[in-house]
Amino acid sequence: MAIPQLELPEKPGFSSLQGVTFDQGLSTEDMVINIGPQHPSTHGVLRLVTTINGEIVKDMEPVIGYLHRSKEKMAEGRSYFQYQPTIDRVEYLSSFFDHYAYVTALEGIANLKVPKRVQYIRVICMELNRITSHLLWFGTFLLDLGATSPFFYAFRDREAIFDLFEELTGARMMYNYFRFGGVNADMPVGWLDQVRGVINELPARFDEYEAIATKNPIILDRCLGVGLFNLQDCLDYGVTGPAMRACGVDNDLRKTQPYSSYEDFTFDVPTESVGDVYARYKVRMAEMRESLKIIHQALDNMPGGDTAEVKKIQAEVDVVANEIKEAQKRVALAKKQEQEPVAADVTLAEKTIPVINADWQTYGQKVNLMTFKPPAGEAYSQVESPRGLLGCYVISDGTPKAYRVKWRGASFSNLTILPSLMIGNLYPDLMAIFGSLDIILPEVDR
Amino acid sequence: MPFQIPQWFVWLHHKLGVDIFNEASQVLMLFIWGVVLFVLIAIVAKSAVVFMVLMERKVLAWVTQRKGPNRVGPFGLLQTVADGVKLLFKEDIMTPGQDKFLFTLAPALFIFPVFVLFAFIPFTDYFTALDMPVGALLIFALSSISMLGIVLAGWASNNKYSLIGGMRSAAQAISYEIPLILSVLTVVLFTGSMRLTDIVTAQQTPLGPLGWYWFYLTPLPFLVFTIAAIAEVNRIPFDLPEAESELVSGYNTEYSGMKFAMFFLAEYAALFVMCALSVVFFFGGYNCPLAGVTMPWGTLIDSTYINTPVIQSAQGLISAGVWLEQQIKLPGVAFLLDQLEKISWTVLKIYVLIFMAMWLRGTLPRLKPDQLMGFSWKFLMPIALLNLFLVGLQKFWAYPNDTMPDLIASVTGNWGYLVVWAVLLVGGVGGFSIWMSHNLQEKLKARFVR
Amino acid sequence: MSESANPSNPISSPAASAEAPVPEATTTPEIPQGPLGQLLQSKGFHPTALGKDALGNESMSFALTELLGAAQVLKDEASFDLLLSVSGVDMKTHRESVAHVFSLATNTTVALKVQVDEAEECPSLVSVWPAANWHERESYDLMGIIYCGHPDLRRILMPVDWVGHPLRKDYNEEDPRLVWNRR
Repeated sequence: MAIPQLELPEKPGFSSLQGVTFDQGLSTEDMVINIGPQHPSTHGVLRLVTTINGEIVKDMEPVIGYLHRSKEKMAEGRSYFQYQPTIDRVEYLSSFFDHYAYVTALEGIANLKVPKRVQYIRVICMELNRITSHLLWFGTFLLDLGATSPFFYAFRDREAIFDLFEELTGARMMYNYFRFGGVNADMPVGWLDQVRGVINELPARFDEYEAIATKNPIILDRCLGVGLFNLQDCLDYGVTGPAMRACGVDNDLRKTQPYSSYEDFTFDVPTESVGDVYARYKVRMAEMRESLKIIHQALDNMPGGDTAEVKKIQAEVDVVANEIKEAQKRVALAKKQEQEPVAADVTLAEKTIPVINADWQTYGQKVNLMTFKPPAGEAYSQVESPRGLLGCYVISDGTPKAYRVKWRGASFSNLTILPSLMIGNLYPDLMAIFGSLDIILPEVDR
Repeated sequence: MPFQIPQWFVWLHHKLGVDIFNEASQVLMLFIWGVVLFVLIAIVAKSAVVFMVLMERKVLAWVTQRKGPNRVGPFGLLQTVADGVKLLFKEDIMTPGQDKFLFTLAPALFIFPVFVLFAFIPFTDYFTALDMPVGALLIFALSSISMLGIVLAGWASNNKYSLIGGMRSAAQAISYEIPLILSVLTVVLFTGSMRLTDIVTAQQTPLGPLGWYWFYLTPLPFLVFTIAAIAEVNRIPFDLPEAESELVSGYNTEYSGMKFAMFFLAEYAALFVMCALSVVFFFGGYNCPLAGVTMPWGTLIDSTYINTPVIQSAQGLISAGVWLEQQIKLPGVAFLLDQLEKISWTVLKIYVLIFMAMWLRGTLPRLKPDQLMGFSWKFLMPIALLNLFLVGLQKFWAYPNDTMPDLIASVTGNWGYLVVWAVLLVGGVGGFSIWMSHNLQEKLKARFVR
Repeated sequence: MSESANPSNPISSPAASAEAPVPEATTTPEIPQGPLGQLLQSKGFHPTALGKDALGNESMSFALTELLGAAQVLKDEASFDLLLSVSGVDMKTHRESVAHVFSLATNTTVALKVQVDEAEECPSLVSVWPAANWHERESYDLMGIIYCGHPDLRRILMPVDWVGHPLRKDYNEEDPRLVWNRR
């Protein structure tokens, strides 16, 4: 009598249960289980229609769209600036990156120059945001594996960084801070020192986190060799970011296509060779430390330094500029009244109006946000977000509203690999694998 | 007489003239005393459990740098009461498709054996509701019934997560009960009795804590017991039946209101019982941990009498009567103080262990089911069996006459014991590290498959 | 403060939109220069160069029949191995399917555009870049471009029973389905 055998789909290399045969004397039935849309570990409203035999996943079909808020359609109905606050909601955990992609695309189309100081501020914002995003990933990843405490530790540090953001932008999560050609406002006085204070404490905290998790035998057991994929799989499924770098590729846009003055900073691109859950974990943990390096350099080399200094110099420049302008007015008035202007005024009026160093400003060319009307054209801007390549494809037709805005969310592509990683694995591996991909659903559904 | 007559009734006989030698009155007295103690213990146990819930939240808050509940009552002491009231008034939701009878039965089936188990815990040598000669056996027989409640809850809920949780629970309980019982078997084998008070008494040596079985029988049975016990009570890292990130809430996903509260309470009660059993088997029960120190009330009461093996015959009853006549001459306060001291030690030890379990919860992540099963069958089982075998050998060599163990005599007089000890220690630690490294190597190999 | 530094602002004036390339290449088709264009030419394809977009990414347009072959050549011989996204763009008279492809080796992005008329079907890129799967589904879902050869062309973001394709410019916003929650 033939014993019915559980047939595992042929997926070489993906399954950690390879070579295991499942002799089952009993006849069993597959169970279809709907994981989500409301489920503690789908990090949003993802639904995974999963067929399981016992605890072994035989099939998985992600169903997305529960959080579709028509962000792309919204862009066509409002002006460029009106659309900006809604970008924060595309990916709420690292919204500086979304803003950067959007703003860069429009700066490209409108050919706007961005001062060095703004670029540095943006770098600080984005790298801090990368840390907060990775911290949240760290907490939820371990929470999915069952460890509750790291979640709270991660949130403690996140709160400290959020306080910095609140000081800078007025908001803790929905920043809406970058502007076309600049930033909304200069940093508050002393903000650089506050950042320094916060990030000086972080390396010791990261050491603590690694002490909890990195060598924990249970975590090793659950992460080593689980969710393996290689570079070819990355390309086939469009997986980018830390997940790709965990396969041994040091592809990081910050290095390969330096934007926003990333070429000024020295930092490493952490990579791992294996491509399993643990490698992705290691890459992300290392990335946070690299972000700290970048922030330190940006803080030290900030053009113009602290806002207090810039304000002081600006005030001095303004005094001189005002004198010249007054003199010019008096000269013009005298000419109008056909009188002889005072000689001192004439010499003063002939001087050029002094301008503060262009690198120190918070706007390159100031645009009127309400009437901002870039020329017709299109741009595909990319940014290395915490989850991978974030792309924003903007087509402008010369009107104040965008003709088409397309978001290329890293999570959207990273999610596609999940079913093939899960088939043949145990159901609890879903938490490790899904957590390690660091998918955030608003970015998937937009 | 197969029963143990509480010696307080001997006092009843002498003072009030109750005829305790009449068999019927003995049975009645036994019954009444058992019921009284059990009701007392049940009340204490429930309040202990309610306190444990608060303690868990406070400890976890402390571990995760939070404040924990601090709004209701002083220091948040009444938080659990407020939660209980909330749960009492909550709607009892039943979804269609559930087996109503089993759905209702499951929490009762889960909570009932756990609270019965409180009767077996020897808080002191007198304060034990059921001190049966087969106590250790009955305890594990009863605790297995709880698992049935979980499986029923999972099945009756008409929920797939619940079902998986229930099935996991069954597999887990079966796998971990064996090492659990095997490790207790070493204790029983060494003591020569399944009566819990006997096991506690046998751990009273001049060495104090080192004479307790956690050290005296090598730490291995204790470690196996602890790991298996944590798995039995479904706590992290073995909380797979209710893994919230995988199964939402596991077998109790569909429960609300008082039924959920019963599951909730029973889980903490089970933790309390397991910690209490661990104290009895491995931490000397109500024995004072300070070796060689006798409290002032202890000098008043002759400790040899207190620790006399329990009376099991009419002959024993008569001798107990003789003992009590001497006893009554002593001030009753000393006796009470002695009992209080013992209760305090028991409860203190139990709560230290509970704290460890909570600390563990704040620290460790969760295992996968296959790792859980593998850990039990491939690691804990062989260790427990080896340990049982070695303890048997040790007993055979060191105490061929089946006498109670005496550490001094064994250490000085029997080198075989030391050898066995060393073999156990080296074998256990070595085996564990070899197993772990082998496991990790397998994992590392698997990483490079592609 | 920078107002004084840059008193004149040419940006918000509509006259400034002169030199930027126009996406709807209405001018005569020109043969793309550069290595990519030459490569494709040598393989017998006839892409239309659309210049570079505002951030320097090259973009070229293909005939429907040539897209797949050209994509295969780009993947095999120019190492464009990572498909970033497939976007549908509604040009009112027709629709455009824009695939952004990235090369890890040369760190360049190229946009492959193809015009799809109402009655036509766009060839699916899934056979070349499997990553196109969900992106094309999204494009089909929101823009209504039909990709022939796609293994699993279903709606992805909208509900399966949705009517219409919301990102089209002529999408009827009075569709009763849009007011489902006002009942």
